[in-house]
Amino acid sequence: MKYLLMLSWLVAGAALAQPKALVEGLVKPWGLTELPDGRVLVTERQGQLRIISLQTESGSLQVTQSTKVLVAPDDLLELGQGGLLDVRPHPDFADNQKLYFSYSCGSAEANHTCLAAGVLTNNEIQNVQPLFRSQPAKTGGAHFAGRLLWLPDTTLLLTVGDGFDYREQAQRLDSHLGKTLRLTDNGSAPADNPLVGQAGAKAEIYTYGHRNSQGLVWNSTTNQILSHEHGPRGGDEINHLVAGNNYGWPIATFGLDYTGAVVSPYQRLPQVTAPLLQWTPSIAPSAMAIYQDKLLVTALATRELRMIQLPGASHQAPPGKLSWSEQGEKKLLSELNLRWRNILVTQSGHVLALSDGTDASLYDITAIIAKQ
Amino acid sequence: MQTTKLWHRFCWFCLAVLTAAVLGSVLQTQFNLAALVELGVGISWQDWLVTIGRDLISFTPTLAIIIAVEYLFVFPLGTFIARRYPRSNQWVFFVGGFVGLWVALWAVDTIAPMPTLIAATRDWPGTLAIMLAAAFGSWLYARGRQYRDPLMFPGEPV
Repeated sequence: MKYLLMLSWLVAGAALAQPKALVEGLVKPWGLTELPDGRVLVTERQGQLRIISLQTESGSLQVTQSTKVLVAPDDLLELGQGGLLDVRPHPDFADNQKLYFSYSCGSAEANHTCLAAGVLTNNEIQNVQPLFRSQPAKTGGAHFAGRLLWLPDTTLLLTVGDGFDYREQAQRLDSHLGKTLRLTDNGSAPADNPLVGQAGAKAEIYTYGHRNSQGLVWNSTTNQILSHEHGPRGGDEINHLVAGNNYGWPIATFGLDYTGAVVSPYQRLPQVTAPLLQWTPSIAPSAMAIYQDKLLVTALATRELRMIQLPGASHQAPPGKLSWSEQGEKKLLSELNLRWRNILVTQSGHVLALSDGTDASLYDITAIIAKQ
Repeated sequence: MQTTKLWHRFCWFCLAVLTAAVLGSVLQTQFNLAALVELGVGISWQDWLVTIGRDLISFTPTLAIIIAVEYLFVFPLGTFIARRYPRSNQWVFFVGGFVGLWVALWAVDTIAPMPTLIAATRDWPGTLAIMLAAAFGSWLYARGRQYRDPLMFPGEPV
């Protein structure tokens, strides 16, 4: 009897630790966010938005409704890594019901990372208006970036990738490629952007020297913007973004090119802000979220979730090392062997993780995270 | 075919691949570093040499694989042309190696998920430089074969 009880306890424990699929059959999902009323939004790259209503029953999340909505701006381009990417509600969503979308637009030969806004009314997206288009145009379907983040001052950050073949443009201030941009809610450059008034520089640039940044989060404890970006072969980075700073790509990197070629002889340079943390070999970080005092980073290549202890306000970088190089880091969800695309910590404290691919799912991983 | 002839061909094949890959690696490093200098990065000659060395270790194997596959098509074709048209000479192999690498890069870039696998070949000068390296390796193979396994080039030493 004692063994039976132990066995049932073990089985129950294992079941509790298994993530629960809330929504299945998602096709190439990318963006994941929450509306003020608790509904969860998931973008699918071919141009659809899933609106998911959730409620808690006996401590576990249940889906009460899941609706597919067509977003597809007129100039949407689903190519390679592109398509409909991120979604974020306007800070005044309760009043204006406006949703902001990042997406790739144009053609295979001349494409851009773009921003549009539409109004969510009765489960329909209406009046979709293009607001911004990165310049110059690039060829091919690689490295659009496309992550969105509203800052407390109601300006919007948009990451733009280096386009892969255009990596040197990440250092050129007359190009949007390889940058984090800061925009107003109508897609223009705020007057207090760091390069406003500098001859030849794009006024929308907030930070530069990025490769393909798909993670942005506001740390309200330290009032810091954290970003992560894909390195090539090694050299994935987490950065603390500061207006006007250069984050190094491709003049300073911890990674090698996919062929093994040296991208730069330098990992650090005086004019470059060093990353807080770097991963070599690459994990391919795809998104991140803050849960209590931990940073959760989803990874595509290593098929896991990284949980990093966020340092306190008085944290000092260890001498000669990257600032976060000695922070504790845990690997979770690897037993599912899934490429992880995105993560969300909801207002109610649940943690949702989105897998990647043509038959992806949205999981409730709260129990696993809370157990750590 | 005599085993010694096969072995002879294999040795020259390997030498040709290695020579072309090493030459191509050194050339591509120059283009990559020149792009950084153009961005205002000062690179000391010591760092320049170290980068060439690092690329020889980490990049050469990738290029060697591409060139080896290319030569598997180019060398039989070159041998066929050389034997059928005795007036042709080792420049058939040079041209074959040159054009063959362009085809190999096109194939690799079509198959690989990234737009251009080798960064130095994003522009024509870098592409031409690596094509020349492959052409030289191919020419070297034709020269080497003359000693024991002649391609029957008129006037060439057998």
